[in-house]
Amino acid sequence: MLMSANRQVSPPEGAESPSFLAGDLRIDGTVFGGREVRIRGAVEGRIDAESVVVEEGAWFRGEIVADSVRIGGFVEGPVTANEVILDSTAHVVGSIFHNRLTTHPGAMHEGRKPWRLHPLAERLTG
Amino acid sequence: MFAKAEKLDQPKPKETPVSQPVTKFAAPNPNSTPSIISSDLKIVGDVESAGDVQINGLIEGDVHSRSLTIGEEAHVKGAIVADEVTISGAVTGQVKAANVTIAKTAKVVGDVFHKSLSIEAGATMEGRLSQAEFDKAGGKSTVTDLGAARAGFGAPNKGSDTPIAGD
Repeated sequence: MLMSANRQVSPPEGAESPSFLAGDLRIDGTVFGGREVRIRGAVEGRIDAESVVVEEGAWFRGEIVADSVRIGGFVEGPVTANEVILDSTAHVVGSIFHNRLTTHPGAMHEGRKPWRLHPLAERLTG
Repeated sequence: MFAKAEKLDQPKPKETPVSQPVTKFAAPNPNSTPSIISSDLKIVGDVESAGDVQINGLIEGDVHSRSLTIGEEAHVKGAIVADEVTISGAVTGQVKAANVTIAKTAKVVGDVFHKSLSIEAGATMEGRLSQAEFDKAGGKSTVTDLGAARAGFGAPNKGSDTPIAGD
């Protein structure tokens, strides 16, 4: 539903149901390579995926590196993505490295939002 | 901070909302939605959850959860500590859980510490099976190690619900 917005990246063939990180999940490490990772509940860790959605009401602390990121919840930590969408319920504390940033009215962001990608994101473009 | 807040009757700077979502979201009902690690996902590091976790992907690290389901395509390389765990996929590492269910598609390499255990016919199991006392909530266990020799292949298969080692 949330992802129905214009995504440039068409999901690769055989795309499956997204991963959900829900409940009280703490990842002491990195999540790699999921096509779509959705965050519900309270999650801590580092996520490196193609598409990341932080759902409304969700709470995430850590680092997000992705091709596209959509945030409707609370995120504390740096976000790096080609395309970043902040929904009106979003609240982000931390830098947002982006190529394209869409901020819906009401979204809160504390931090820098430089128009350039973090070097980390280079490996995602392949 | 609180004492000052009474004196300074001015609106707070924008730092206040930082703590607000934490209290709002930090304790969502953990039982509502399970975490699903789908098959295209790989996690390097330890995973800790107070709720239910379903793993279909690859995890290199320890998993600590209340309830854990390991799907057929999943592979967990690391120790598992949970209240209850259902294994249908591959596990390389120690398994510690009060209730352990090993399905026929499972491939477990490692010792299993359990309170009650069921192994379905066809499961691959390499390691020792030990009955252990569990305090509660997937916590630390006191291994009595009485079933150490009971390990191995050819577990009695009288149905998936037959516990091998009773209480």
